Amino acid sequence: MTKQTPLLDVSRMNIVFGGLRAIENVSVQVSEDEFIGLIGPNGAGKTTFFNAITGYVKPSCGEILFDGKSLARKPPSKIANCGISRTFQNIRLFPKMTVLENVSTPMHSTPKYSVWAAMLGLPVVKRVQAETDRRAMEFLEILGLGEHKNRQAGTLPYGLQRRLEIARALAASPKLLLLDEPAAGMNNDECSELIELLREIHKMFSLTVMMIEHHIDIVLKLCSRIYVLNLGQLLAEGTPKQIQTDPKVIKAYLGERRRKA
Amino acid sequence: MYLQSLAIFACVNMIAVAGLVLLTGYTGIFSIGHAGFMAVGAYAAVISFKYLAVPFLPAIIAGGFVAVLISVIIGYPALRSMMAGDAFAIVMLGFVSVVRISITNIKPVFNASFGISDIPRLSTMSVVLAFTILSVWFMRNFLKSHYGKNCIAIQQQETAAEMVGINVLKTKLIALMISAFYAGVAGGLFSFFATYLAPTNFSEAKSDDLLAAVVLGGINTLSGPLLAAAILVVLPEFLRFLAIWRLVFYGAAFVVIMQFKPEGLMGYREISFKWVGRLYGKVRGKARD
Repeated sequence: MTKQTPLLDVSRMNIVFGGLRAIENVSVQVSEDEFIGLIGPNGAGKTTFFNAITGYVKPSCGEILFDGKSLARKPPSKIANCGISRTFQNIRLFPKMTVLENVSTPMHSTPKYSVWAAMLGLPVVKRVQAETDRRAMEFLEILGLGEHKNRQAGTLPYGLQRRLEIARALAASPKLLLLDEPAAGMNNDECSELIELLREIHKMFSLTVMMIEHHIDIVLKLCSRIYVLNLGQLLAEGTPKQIQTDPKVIKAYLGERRRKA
Repeated sequence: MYLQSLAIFACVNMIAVAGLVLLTGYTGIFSIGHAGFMAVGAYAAVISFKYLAVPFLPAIIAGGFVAVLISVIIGYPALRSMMAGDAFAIVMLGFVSVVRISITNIKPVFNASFGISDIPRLSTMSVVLAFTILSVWFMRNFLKSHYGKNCIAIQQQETAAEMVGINVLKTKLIALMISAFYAGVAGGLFSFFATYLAPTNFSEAKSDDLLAAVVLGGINTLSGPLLAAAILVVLPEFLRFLAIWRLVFYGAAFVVIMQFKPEGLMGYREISFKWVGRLYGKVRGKARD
């Protein structure tokens, strides 16, 4: 664990929805190349934490620094272009687009030619399009989706849809990848496949990954460090071994009453 | 002459619908007030022609640009506050009424409810046809480009579109501006053919016409709504005796489409002419035998 300037530095973040404190004084530091797990019981605020980093929810107070720059006040699309990419707990693909088109959207989210060039159908449009398709195809091959490139995303089986979502997140060439329950609804075989896949892409793209996951064995196998959230507060932080033996964590998983805010 | 005027009306309708295809069919923003932009474009074109001595073609284009300007004034605040679907449709419904009532009450230049008459008939068949072909071609290119793909992404899954880095507000605004330009040009061409311009020409019913073409024609397709636009001009002529039932027919058609084929008759498909080639090949093959 290098303790230089972290890639993601969240300090004393609070998020309040009406009377509910969804996140209370949470500080998280993620350094480059780390594979971080974020676990906690249901309603602990894990997804809210992701939503805050990606700009869908504005923190009531506290600061989020990414690569040394503050993310406050930036809209989600800008944050995405800074290099943070995510998948969703409930899959959010573009269902009627083909698999290839799904993966290429992050590459052309800001088209490289003007509106006028697009309307006139200048040669540059075709050239950029071909280049984008070629690069998107590479990502599909890496994730083993190459043969499905012309299928409608919505018609893919569930496991492949999850995989496609990861492919799309990678296609944005992010520095930080946020995975929200990538293994949700997967059986054991699919889980071990996923572990291999995530390990590989973590290495191949030298990514920093932060993952929310309920399958504890996946978290233990992949993550170098784990943060535990409970009732909106940071309960523990440490290596998988430390977390497994932490009495507070064990108690939280067995249950505790939420304090009224 | 009768056939020609029918063809011109069909072409004008197709230009406006081509614009609405981008906004509603691709970006997924419903506009039930698009006739408002037609009215703005028409008045801007006619006034700049009659009072500012601008030549015909620049006047038409100017009409389009004035419609764009108005669309930004309406669209920026409405789209920025994330007014999704229904709310924006209602904003547009209000907009078309505001336009009509404002014009009805401005006596100088606009001539209030009497309208502007004695407009020279400069929208000939060839001019209108050229405009139609060009605008459809531009729209086809735009929809096939990455801009069009971004619009589809927003329509299908707005949150994810934003997450992959698409500037949703900007993309929606571009779609609105382009479709307003198309409507403005269509309005201008229409009034230079009708030779008479009154606020009632572009009422809410006209907006329904345009939206009907897109809903019937289908989403994520350009050729479907264009075909529907032409049919919706021609069909009522044959069914004159049913004229008062037209809006009832629209209503019924909407319900049937939404119930049984929510993506429209031609949703996600373009009219293809490949079968012509195949047929030709077959005929030639037979001729050789």
